[in-house]
Amino acid sequence: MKDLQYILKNIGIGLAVVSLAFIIDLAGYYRVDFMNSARRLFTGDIYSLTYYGVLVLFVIVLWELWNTLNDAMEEKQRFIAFWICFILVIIGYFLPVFGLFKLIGIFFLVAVMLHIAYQQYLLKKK
Amino acid sequence: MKKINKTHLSVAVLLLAVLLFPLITQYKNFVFHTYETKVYQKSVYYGRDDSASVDYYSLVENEKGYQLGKAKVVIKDETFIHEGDEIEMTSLVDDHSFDHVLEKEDLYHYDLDLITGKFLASVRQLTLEIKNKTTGQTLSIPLNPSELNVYTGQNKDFTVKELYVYKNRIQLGSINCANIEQWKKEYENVRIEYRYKKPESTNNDQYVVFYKQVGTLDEMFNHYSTDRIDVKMPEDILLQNLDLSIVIVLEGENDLAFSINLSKVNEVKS
Repeated sequence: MKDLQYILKNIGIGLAVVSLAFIIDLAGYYRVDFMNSARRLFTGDIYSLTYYGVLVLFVIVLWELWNTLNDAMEEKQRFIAFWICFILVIIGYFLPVFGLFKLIGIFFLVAVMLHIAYQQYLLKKK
Repeated sequence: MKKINKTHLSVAVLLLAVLLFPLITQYKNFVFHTYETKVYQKSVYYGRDDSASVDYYSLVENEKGYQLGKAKVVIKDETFIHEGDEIEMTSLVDDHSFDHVLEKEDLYHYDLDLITGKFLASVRQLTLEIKNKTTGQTLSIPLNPSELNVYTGQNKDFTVKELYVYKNRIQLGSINCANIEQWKKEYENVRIEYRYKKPESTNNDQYVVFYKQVGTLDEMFNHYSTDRIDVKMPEDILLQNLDLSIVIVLEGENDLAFSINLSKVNEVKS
């Protein structure tokens, strides 16, 4: 049961990060609202949807990689990781790279930061 | 630092590399299908009362403003118009007015031209004003949006976008090619056939070609324009009830022909 919860949580993070980035990017490109952008993504064409699926898988594996590293980290190292992510988000925001990948990177780093913050909160609560 | 789980780490890195491969190799294709053409808002308006009717009135919004007109106007009130009278028609779009150039079919039938209105605002009210300059009489026909069907189709390298179907008329959209330079090495010209399947036919070969285009690959692919080729079918053919498709014939040393089925989609609206 715990394993299933863990897998579902990873899938949820992958879906949330990629969907949000994709929808915001398409909304900006086609000048449409959030709902129409989501409709364009999920009912537009099979090629975009397949690429979206592969990106979700990629982010899930990337999150798993982060979890593996996170398990080996001390509290102080997590603190450093948090600030590295914060700086990378700021730098990433101004980088002139393809919008979708930039958004995925930013949302992923934000998810990592929230994860670290939540772990610190749980530690302090104990 | 605690001991790192090396198996987990290796599997994750390996999987990342495996997933990175299709992401990189299919990137160009993904950009082509996802970001190639912007779909602008297009509507067709109609209006009728006892004195006149307006149909096929087209309104296309793009970044610069609107293109409006290209309508068919029939004056039904015989007392309004007489032989030799001078007629003027003006589109009233909220606070803006645009004078049309008319093409006269006969005393009662007119075709409006397509004009560009450079203003950026959502259209709330649209009226066509018909003025008889000889007698000074004026008719005002309020126009309402009507249902418009948008068709698209695609395969890996080609996308057909924005074919607008309204009653028995079809406005041809754009056809985009993902790797045009690659295709140009093997093929010089292209023939594009627009067709529909006969409704009563069970045989797959029973198609009617209603429009053909011939040209080089550069002329036929990757062009976007809001001023489209407008094909008018006989009155009894309602295209939205038929199976539409196109055939692309690439002509070179060895010709290549394939068809793309067109399917109805919801228009992406601003």
